[in-house]
Amino acid sequence: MIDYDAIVIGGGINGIAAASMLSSKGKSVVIIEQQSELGGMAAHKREGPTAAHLLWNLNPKVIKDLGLGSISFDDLTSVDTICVCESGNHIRVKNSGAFYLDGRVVDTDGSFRKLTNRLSRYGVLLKKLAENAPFGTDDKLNSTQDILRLLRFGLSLKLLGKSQMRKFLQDILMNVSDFLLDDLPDGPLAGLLSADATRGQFSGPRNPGTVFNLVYRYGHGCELTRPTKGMENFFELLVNAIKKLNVDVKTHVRAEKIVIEEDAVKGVELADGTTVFSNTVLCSSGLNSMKKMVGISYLDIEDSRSIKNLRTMGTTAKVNLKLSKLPIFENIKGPINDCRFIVAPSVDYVDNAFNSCKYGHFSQTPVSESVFTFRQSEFWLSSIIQFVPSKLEGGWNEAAREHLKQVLVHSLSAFIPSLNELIVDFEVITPNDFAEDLGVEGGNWHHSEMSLDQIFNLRPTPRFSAYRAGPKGLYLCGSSSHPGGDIMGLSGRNAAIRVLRNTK
Amino acid sequence: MSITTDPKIGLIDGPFQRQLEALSQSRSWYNWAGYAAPSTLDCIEFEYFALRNQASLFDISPLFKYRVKGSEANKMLNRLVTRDVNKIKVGRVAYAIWCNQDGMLIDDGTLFHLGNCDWRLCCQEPMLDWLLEAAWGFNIEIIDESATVAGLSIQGPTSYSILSIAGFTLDNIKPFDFYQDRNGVLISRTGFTGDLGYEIFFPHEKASDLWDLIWNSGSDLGLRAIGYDAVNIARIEAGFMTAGIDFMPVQSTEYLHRGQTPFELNIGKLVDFKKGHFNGRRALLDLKDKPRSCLLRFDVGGFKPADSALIYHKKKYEVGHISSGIWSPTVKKSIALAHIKTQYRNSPALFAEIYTLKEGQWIKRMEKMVENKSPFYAPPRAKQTPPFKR
Repeated sequence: MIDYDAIVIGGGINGIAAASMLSSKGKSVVIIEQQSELGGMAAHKREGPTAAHLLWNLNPKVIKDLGLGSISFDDLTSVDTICVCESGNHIRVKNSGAFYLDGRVVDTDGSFRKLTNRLSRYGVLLKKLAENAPFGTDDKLNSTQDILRLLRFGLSLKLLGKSQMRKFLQDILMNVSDFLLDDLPDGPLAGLLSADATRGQFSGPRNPGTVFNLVYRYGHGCELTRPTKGMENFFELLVNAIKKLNVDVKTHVRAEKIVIEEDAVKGVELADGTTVFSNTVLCSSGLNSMKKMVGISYLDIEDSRSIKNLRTMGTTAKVNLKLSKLPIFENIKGPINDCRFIVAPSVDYVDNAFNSCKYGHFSQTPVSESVFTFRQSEFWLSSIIQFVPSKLEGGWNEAAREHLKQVLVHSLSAFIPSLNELIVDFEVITPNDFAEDLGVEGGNWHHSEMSLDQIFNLRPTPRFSAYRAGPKGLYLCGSSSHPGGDIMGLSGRNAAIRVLRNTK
Repeated sequence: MSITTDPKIGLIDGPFQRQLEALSQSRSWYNWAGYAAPSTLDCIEFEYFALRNQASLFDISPLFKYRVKGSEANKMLNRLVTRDVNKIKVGRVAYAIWCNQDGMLIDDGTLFHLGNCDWRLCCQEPMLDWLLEAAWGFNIEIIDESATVAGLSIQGPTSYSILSIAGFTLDNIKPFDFYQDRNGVLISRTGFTGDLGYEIFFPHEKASDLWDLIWNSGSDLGLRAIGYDAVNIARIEAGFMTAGIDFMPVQSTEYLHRGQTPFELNIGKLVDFKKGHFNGRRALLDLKDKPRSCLLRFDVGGFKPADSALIYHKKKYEVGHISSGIWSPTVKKSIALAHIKTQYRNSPALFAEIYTLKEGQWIKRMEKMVENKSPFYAPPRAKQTPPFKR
């Protein structure tokens, strides 16, 4: 008995991408989501704004699959970055140019622009790798398509020219601190890039592989956007698109168990006691949740060892401050919600903030990214704070939450002196809260750390890199699979392509 | 000043070192899992014939022994080993093998079903790390008993009588049964010789008492302490394979593709595909029908031990090699365990290329090989219950 051609567990961006891909190829699909709304981690919210407050790298192919080809520049507003400095000389970064608020150019020798250009060039290369399954997984490179793809990638590397290619190969494994400080003085611009390189990670700017993350994040030419009508509206758009594609959606019900018979997937048992039957199940959760649903007896020992050793420490917290009114910035031109405010005045500052995290604390001088949002006539300052450990010494009690909020407010007060008086309410969402609400291991934004030993063919584990795991018919489509984190939807799309190829 | 104690360098003493050292005429020791173990104590002929005609006492304490206990022990073991442990009753011992994810053999060993959800695994290779990995996610406990449980193997036609004199009632103990007394002594009717025999396990501190008890009980029945060289002859006669000699435990291979599947080692019948998932099952389903080579028993012509000889089809094409070869004193034949490439396994024209060096002269012989489907030597007394009293 079969109810659907495929079941997708988890309605995050990757689940949505996988379902839309499958559905556009004529498969009947159902999404099972434990939260009341789709959107997963990015759409997660309590009282305040959603967890993701900006759009990074949403892949155009995913948008196209969803039939949302009409998303245009009118729907997305580009966002400038303001680097907050204690000295008061804040810097606005706009289209990869950097200016003081009075309009003077910071980057007089053009080194910042050159650096960001280099990152975008690399980004184009990595994007090619991200849009497909990693090379040589279960097909063992024997398909002509794979070989051609590899050749094309090799060619695009070669076309960089000898010195550029050499530079690329040297840069891509480096730590972001060395990479930046070769060309830039340590200051707010270097701080900004090192904060972007380490957001969501359990690694500081001096950890190897952080350049790779920066390149990933700048894969779209260093531009970031917000949906003009707000993030919630954007998720509504996605949900409507999914429904238009005839994808069934079951929300508010948890997938309890993946039913397996004779080493093949037969369906999914839900928390309400019903069972949905299908021979194909795509699981967008992290590996630990997958293990629980499948049952460890169905996984090989090598695989359970890899799952055990996966690094999934969550380091990112959300603090949402509800404000009585918007602060007024005389020297910022244009709407205030078209800016994100970064507190990361130098590479050293970012590295120090990470140090505390290693030892189970959050820094008194935190790295944060804040965005003003308006929703239902409320004003919110939505902040993502880096390097906040899920395993906080002493645990996450009310006092710790209050303390985190105060630390943030204090660090922002150099920029918004009146901030403390404006706050009428606040919420602190710790990595553990994400873990509890969404079932994401350790509250890690990418389900598992995006580090050099956990990317490409090694993501999530060497054996699972072909989006396949354990019994026949079980696929992984979450961000723990290649290419991984940020709201890109590519893990889900790649997994769906694999399903289509295998069920041909 | 270092705060750690330096590890002991060289071989360490086992629980019977005092007794073995007193008996050792040949002073021939080898390294078995770090312990000084005797290759021979006197001479191999005396020891081998004691094993087959009287009784032999061999220290098996260096074996690795692991206790697996807890409510999910059966479930965990069923994922680990290829056979169905639910079919092994309490009080029984079972030969078991376990593979890695690619279906390559990690090791073989014996599983003792000590009680409800309580097992002991004895094996040749250190396995603690692997067992701990296999145990993750199950409600069980793994205890390394390697250094706390001592073992003696008493093998040979008079072994039953000796243990009876020593006061153990083993009349109803069939092969692969075991008996446990109240003092923590466990006697299983198992062994590595294909003969009537028992293996006795007990806590280290009882080692001296038990040795004395058995030694004194055996004085009139020809009991002799022996080393591994004699056991090796007996195990080849029985057709048993040894880790590192006849198969490569895959976790200690360094090159790719040096591991072997159970089907390549002729122990495919220990793989139960019907019991549900176990480690390596998916790979083995695929590899079941494509063994690259096969481990077979052969009678070899001539009288020279054929150990390590290369094997030729029609004296021309190299198609395999012998991993264990001896002159068998009991069957009076040269016998061998050999790996043959699958397409030649039924070849009627297989020859072993045997080189011997005598007084500066190398002699090469090509000896005809004939497959032997049964063990080379399997005396009925090994299975008789109760065994004949001497």
